[in-house]
Amino acid sequence: MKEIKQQQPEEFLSMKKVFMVGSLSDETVLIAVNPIFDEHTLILTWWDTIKDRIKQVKSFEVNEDSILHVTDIQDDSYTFVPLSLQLYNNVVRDQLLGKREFVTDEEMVQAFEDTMDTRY
Amino acid sequence: MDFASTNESSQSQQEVKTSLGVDSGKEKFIPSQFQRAKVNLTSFSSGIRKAFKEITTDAPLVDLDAEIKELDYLSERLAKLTVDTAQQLDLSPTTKFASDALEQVSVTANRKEDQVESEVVLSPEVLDRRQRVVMVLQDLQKQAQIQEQEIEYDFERVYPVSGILCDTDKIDEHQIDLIQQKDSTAASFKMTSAMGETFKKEILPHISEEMVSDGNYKFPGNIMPLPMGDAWIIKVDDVTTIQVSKGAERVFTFKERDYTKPIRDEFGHIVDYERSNVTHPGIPVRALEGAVQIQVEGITDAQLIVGKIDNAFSFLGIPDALVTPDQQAENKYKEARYRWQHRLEDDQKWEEHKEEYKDENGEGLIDHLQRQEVYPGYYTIVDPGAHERYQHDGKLFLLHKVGHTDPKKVLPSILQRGLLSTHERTKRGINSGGMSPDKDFRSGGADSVFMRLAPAILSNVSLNSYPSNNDFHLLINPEVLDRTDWYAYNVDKYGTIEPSEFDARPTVEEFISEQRKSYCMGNEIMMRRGIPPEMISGILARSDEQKTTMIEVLRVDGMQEINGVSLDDFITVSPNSSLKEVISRESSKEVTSV
Repeated sequence: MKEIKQQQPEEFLSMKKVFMVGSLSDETVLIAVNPIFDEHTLILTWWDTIKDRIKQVKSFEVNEDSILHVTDIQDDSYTFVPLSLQLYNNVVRDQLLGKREFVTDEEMVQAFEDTMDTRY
Repeated sequence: MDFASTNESSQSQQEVKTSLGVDSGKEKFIPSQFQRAKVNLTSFSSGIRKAFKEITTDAPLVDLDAEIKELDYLSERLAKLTVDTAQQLDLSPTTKFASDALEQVSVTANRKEDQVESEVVLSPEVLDRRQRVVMVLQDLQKQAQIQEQEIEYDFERVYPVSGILCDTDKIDEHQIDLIQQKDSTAASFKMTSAMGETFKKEILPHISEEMVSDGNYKFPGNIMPLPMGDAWIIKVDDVTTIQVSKGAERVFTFKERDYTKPIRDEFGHIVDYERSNVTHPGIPVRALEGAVQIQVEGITDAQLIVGKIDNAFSFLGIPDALVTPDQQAENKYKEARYRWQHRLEDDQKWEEHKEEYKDENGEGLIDHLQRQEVYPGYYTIVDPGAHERYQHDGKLFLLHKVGHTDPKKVLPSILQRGLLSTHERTKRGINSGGMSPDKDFRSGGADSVFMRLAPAILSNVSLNSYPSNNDFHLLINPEVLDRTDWYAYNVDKYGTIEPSEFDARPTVEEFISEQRKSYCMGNEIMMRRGIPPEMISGILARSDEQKTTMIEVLRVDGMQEINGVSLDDFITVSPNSSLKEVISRESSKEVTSV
């Protein structure tokens, strides 16, 4: 079921720290900070700014559009797209409580990473 | 009559309305200011007219009839708009003079009324129940004062919270949280679903429309207010506001993005998605179903604040809210909690279960269950020894992963404060700077701290399957499983309480059995509100370097040992090891039980 056309998921996910997660069936996803995929155990984990998420993956693919598609054992499908400032402004920002504005990608990424420290 | 006199006895809803001075013909609550204006106008109308005559005697070119008509008109408006807003009316010079006289009378009346209010003889029961809350509030105020001297920045502030046992059947968990915010005091609680329905159908329609508005359910927040779904906002008086969450957002139409149709920029990067109009049915905000916040601003006297809160409860149709639950109510709650956790919805099964329990243990199940403070300020029903029963077929480990950018920022506070759910953190003014969506509030997971269960039979699951570079795991004492306020899923479901999932959740026994049989790393246990630091029994670090850093951080913070265990023993290094190895290592250690 593995259909790898361009990159391995590990490599793809290591390129950026923050991704936008989309799903048609799972409304609980939006952001993935530091996602990691273990191809041997087929475990995909990420920090979603509130809690850590763990999915046992059934199939995965990094397609030609540079989007990681995964399907978990519950048959929920997810797409992981690197989060740019433009994508943040167009899609993500309105869905966040604070709707913060950023000037640079780095500021935005840092703000998402900081959520790991502010939860306690 | 003001609201203060409404709580002196437990009255039926109609009696409460009557005592509030409600015109039974109109069937509407009248806000205190309107009421006060009416009282003033009625009680002192003769005085006003007398004053008016004196004024007109000194004012030669006055059409008396016209002025009296204007005064009548003014009186009507005053009754509707309150004395305060009447001051803003554009009045003729003569009526302005009369209005000033009226205001003087009002001031005198208010003083008299306040005097009467302060002289109201409260029954010993009311004094007692209020005094209990006053003492808790005074303690919170002291904590807040001490904190203000210690913090440097606003974001460091954590609002002190304390729970008060209360009510018998209208408030969820029999608990109201008192919260000392920066410039206000809040009483936060959830109505039971039955009370929520009563409020919507029987209480809300009788509250004057002028007092109720639609708005967002808002947490004050240290950094910024956090709006969360829709609420009825009820302005009780100048200093008291009640927010009643609607548990959902309104139906609205918006443009939904189709994630299968990306829009790209000139370089081929995805920058947006195509959209189409969708009418949204209104999103449930499960964690706030039945949630209520009574907020008192602008006064600091604990007695007065508690009086305002007590009055607000009457307004909500819960006049006995501050009464401590009796044994009968507590037993009822014990039963409800236990049956909820063990999925014993069927009455016959419940009766059989109780019989079996008594035969096996020699004591009644309800007698065995206890109400305990399981997190500072939070009480729930505990089934002492249940964790041993759950581990009859093998040891269980509870893990909570902590990701961070800097251990200094998270480790000391975790070990001092324990773990708190998103909802609890938000109530305390702690938030993520607004960078999180409200998805766990929507799912209902925001009410819980999440853990993962790891049975000791695991063979090849690597801790590094979880990892990022900086994370570590907390080991939680299985004794926490004695609590009856947790539920679990075999896979990651974000702690949802959406009925289609929640009603199909496994029982405690089914969950543990399934994880022993077919372990899923994404399993989740949702423990309500918080886990205290005493229940953290160890840390699994990823490297010697990480462990050394942690020890340094904790020592700087003055911690030499945790829960009686040296830092060296408390922190275990588990690089690349399988959970089985870690678990066997941990199993061989004597984990201090608190």
